[in-house]
Amino acid sequence: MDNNGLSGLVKCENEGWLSIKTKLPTTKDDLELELSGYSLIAIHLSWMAQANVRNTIEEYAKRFNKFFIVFSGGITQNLLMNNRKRLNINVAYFYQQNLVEILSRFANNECAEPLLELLYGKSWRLSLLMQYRNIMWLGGNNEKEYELRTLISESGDDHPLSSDFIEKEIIKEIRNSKI
Amino acid sequence: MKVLVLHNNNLPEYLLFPSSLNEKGIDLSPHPFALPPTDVPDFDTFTCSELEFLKDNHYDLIILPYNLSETYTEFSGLRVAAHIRLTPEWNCLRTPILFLGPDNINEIMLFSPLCALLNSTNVFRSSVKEEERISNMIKKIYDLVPAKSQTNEEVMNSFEYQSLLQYLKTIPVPANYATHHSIANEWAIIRWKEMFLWKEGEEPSLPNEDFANMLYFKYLMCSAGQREHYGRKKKNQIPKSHILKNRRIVYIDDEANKGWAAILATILSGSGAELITYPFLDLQKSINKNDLIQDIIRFLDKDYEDNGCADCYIIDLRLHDEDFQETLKYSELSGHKIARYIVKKDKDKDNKRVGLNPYNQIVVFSASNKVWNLKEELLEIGASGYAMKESPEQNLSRDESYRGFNEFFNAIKAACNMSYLKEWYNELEQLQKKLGYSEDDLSLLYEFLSLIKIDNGKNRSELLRACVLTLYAFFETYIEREEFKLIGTELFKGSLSVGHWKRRVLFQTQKENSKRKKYIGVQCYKQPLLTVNPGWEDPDEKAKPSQIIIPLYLFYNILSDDLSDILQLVNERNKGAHEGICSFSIEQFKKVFNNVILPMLKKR
Repeated sequence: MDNNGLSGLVKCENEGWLSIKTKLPTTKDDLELELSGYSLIAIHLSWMAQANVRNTIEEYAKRFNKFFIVFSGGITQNLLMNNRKRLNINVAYFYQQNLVEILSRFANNECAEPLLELLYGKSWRLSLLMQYRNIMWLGGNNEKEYELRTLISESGDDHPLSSDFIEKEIIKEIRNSKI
Repeated sequence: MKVLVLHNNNLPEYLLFPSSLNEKGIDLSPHPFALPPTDVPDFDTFTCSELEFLKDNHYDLIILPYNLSETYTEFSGLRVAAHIRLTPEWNCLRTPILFLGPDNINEIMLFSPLCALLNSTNVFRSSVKEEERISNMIKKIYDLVPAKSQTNEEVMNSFEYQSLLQYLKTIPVPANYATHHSIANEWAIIRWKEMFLWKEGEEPSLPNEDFANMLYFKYLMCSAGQREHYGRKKKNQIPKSHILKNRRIVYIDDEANKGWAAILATILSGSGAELITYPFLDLQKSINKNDLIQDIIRFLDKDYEDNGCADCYIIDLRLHDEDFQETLKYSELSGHKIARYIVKKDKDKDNKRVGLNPYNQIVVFSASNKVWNLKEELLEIGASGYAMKESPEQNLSRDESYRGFNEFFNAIKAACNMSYLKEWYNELEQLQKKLGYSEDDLSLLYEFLSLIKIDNGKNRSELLRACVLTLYAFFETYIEREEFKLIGTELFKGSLSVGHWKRRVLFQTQKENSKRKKYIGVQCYKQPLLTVNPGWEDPDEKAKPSQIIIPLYLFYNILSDDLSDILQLVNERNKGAHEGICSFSIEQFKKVFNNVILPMLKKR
């Protein structure tokens, strides 16, 4: 991480809503107790593997619906899963300049999709629009369509979004985007 | 025609199940490709295991969506297609690929660097989804791309495939240097394995195959691997050397357990050498760097206490994650610190030994592609050799690889060949302790050792001459200090007579010019001689050769054969620098040190 980013994280720690830990307990109960105070957990893959706690943390994060980021230099493809709650991300993408900003907004309840934003920055909405278009291209999937629509649509419309609207929004987002 | 459909339930339904397309002569094989919801594996590793079946099947066309994972704009379908193109074993290097989805290239390229793949030959895309149109498209592609019976090698050498590799230059390089370093390691292991055509059961076992699955690694293999292959008929032999017989070689490398230790042990054991490897665990990379260095030092100390110094130390320079920081100074690398420990010997405040032996031989073996002023840095460490684990970026031909291997092998041989220096140092150190020699008494010998240590085969005559001058100075000052006097046929030490001509030394002389005689031979006799052969004569008490050689024979009991070497040494010293190359050899220096200097020093 560049120095600005690192000093930013240290500043966040001083503000009291972020903890930077170099050690964690390795027994299941102690680990869960330690993690229970956090809404978002980010852990280096090697540390989890070496401490043999990968499964424990994976299960815990899923059970308690926590945002969970696994970062490592060895991750070859960023993968956002479990309804955007679980992210496998390469360190180069993780340690980006807007990490501090995203975490800060998340801590202040101003960022509902922190992992999506971490992955795509300003293009997070474009990503959802393209996903929505693909669902419609396949013939629609009611549950998924509804979930995405609530994130994309600003009007609160109760009907599926028209393909015209989607195309226009995609063009608009491409113009605004900077990945 | 056989069509493979890779999907994550995200293509039109008629492609997901055997359908009416079958009636149109299209034999569909749908294959679900879905990452497990928990314990998510590495995507490349998962792709490789999931598509392993391609090896045993033939398809005329592969259909897939742009994305196969949960988040659409990951466009992981492109990554899967890149794997298909970069895995020759799957035999789909030119099989047509058809992407289906509503997106256009401009949109995809905002999210995926692999978008360029869509421009390559035999890759098609379509946003239509109607069965009839897709069916027509499949048939058109089949007609457009006729099947060719080409070997993978032919395909890979084709213009189309080389263009594809250009498009795939966009495959992201691993983000951190440590991963990159490991890739270089893995690459070199594969090359060496291939170089010696190790067969099953014959090859050392290599535990880690992860990198072989990595898309970037495959890209490197396909692009850098295009240079000519080793001669098919003639197997490259692992060289053998008698120099390595019964040698102990210590190996310290964070990648040792990834296959290097097995490979080096196989190579070196062929010549009768023993490889002792520091048992590096992956976990150690995450412990404190100083703790790691201390642990390696404990390992070295234990080996030293049990067996003495090894004949050669092979060391990688980067042993800890922190060594990969871009701004780190060379001298701060953990391998550098370990090397410095190996070639020093000191005492701490508690009079405990710190370091091993200044004359230990180190070969640096690294996958580093960092540009340093290597020559100076290696000199600073005191390394006797350097061999680079080749990396894919170098794009070496097989011959160049083999030459690189030979450089490595020769560096180890040269190091083992010089390992006598550490023994000499030990001997001198012991003599200092036992017989009370001062540092000053032996300083010229230590200087001689330092000169021999820098012998790298270059400018050898100058180096040998410097060694001759240093050893001559040692004999001259040592004998002068011992106050030997040659008066007539008697040798005195101080005022005490220590030898006379019951034993007789004769010199063969030659007239050099009108004033000087040159001593060209020496013979010693245990009995008095009645007659002397022509050209031989008793020593001249004022001549330097006899002032040095007579005490060596009469007082130190040095044998006649060894005295001839000393005479040659004296003659070399008297030769001008302009009188041709130095004819005194390293082997003669070894003889002089072992047969003359050590017995001499022991008789105090």
